Amino acid sequence: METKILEERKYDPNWEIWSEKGNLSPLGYKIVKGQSGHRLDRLSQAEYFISTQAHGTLYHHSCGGLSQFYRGLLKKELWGTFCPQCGFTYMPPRSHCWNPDCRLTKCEWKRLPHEGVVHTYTIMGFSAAPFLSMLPFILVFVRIRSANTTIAGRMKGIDPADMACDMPVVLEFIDEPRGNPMDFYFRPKEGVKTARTSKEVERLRKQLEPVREWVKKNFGG
Amino acid sequence: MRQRVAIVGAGMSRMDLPRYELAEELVAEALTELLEDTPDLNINDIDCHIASYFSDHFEQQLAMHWIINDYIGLSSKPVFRVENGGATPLDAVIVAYWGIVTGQYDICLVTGWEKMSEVHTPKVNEFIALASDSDFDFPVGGFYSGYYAAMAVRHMHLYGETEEDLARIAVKNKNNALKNPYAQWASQYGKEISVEDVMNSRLVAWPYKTMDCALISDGAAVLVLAAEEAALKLTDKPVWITGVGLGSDTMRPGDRVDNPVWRGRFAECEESYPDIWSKPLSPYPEMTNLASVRLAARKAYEMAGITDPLKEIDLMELLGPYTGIELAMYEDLYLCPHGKGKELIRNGEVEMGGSLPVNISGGVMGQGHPVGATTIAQACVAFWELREEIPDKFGHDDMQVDGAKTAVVQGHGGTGAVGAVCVLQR
Ligand SMILES: [Zn+2]
Repeated sequence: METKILEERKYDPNWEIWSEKGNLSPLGYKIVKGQSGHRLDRLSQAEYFISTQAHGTLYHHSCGGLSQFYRGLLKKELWGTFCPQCGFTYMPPRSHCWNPDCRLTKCEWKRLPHEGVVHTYTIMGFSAAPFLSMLPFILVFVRIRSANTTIAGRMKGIDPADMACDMPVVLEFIDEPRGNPMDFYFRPKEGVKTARTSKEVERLRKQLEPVREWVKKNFGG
Repeated sequence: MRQRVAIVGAGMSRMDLPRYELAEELVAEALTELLEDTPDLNINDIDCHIASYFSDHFEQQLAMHWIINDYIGLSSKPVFRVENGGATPLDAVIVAYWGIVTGQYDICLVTGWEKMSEVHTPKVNEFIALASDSDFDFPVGGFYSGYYAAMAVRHMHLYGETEEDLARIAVKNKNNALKNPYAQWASQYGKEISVEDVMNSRLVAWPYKTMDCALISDGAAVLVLAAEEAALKLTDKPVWITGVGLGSDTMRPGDRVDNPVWRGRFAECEESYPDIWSKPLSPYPEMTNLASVRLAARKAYEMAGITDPLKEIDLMELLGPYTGIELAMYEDLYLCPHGKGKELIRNGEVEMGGSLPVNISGGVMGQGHPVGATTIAQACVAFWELREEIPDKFGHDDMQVDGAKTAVVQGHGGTGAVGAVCVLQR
């Protein structure tokens, strides 16, 4: 059977050109004098030729049996799966139950409540390349109510110093979801107050200052 | 009766960022050291070559082990790559061990390397993060420092260690590295640090600052393993591999809370879980500890007949990419009861001169972390310790554990998706 497109959000066709552009052609080089030698007590100097090349591509990733989750995001709905045999609820979803006793029973879809609990968190002062401009941000692992797993996401609307494990949160969607886990984020469900001592709060603020300055310097405003 | 297997030779490159040499030249640097120390070994005697590197992305080169293999004169010999995330290098040693223990080969070479300096640091983090779940964990801004930090936050929440406790582990490892002439930290930083220095280093992912984290490195390391008869021809100081264990856990750390496969498997760890409302169905490993490593340790200790690890093991080299996970692994490796890891660093037991020095080499935050080479390089240091060759290798005897007989090398990948433990004895 022929594959039909049911719905599409088009991307800029320039990306196709970009993806063929670099592909390891030499862009530039430098010649440097650097350190060589097997141990610190046996160092020497040598000259090296360093060549710069680029390589990228586009990926067209089918979300497979989990497509319902991503389509749900477009409608600002949270869809998880559950096992009809053992009742285990998955968020992130899984197509098959992992409980060895269930012998890969096919899971079913259900809508999950837009609330949960922060199982644990971290306050990010550095990140992988695509997320640097968003620093600092709070990464949370949230157990959605009724789920047996936790899902990674972003926490907003809170002073980092007020973060704590076991904090109740609500899930909210961004205005224009694109079918990506970044379509939703978490906010505190209730008023929060810090569990940190005033010394710890002050220390954390001090630790965050250079991060904010660095982002401002590299990405502006 | 199983064939006995020994490590008969070891070598490593100096670790640094960058090392300008090619990966194959770094492997050659390490192998040259091994060959000098093992004069009766000819390259032609090697029956099989097991190679370890972590990422094809760092150098845009797949099947790099084919380049390495012919570069060092091994074309015609069986070669293949082991790939298992951060566990890759120690798993490569274990695969070589299997090759010999089954009687298939007499002499196996294990090589490990990584060149991480070709892309800038955030890209390195991105490439490593591709070894996390790139559908759910990575796209929300996660990367390894973040996952491990979140795990440490939960551990601190439940068991009460402080940022300073974690910092003490960094101080131990990095200051150890200053005495190691192969160590990246010695050339990159080169002076002693204090808890305060760690606390004042730049925030990466709370509670981790840069000094709580592994280094990014270029480097290589090699080992030669041999069956008993061949081993005794090559050296009069073989180091026997007497215990080997492996284990696994979920790819996503967030999946671990109620994982049905863990229920009831760790009674000794479940009692220590505080009585709080958010207690998961699987209180161990939860998101705090590494069950893959605990299973690996159980198996390896059982095989080696170790019943009291803290007493019986003379030194340990473990893969602690972050201070908090080193602390949690004191628990997972049965050095103390679950939840008590902080005591070992507070009372100095894991320091040089303590009852069980951990990461004399400096480990991944001191010696260096060229991922595919890391635990092979740590095994090199353990090998030299057991042969009492540290004074010769390091140029002083400060870091030699006198009379060391038993060493443990541990590795793991992901946030503990896989774990490995090897017991080495002379
Ligand atoms: Zn089930």
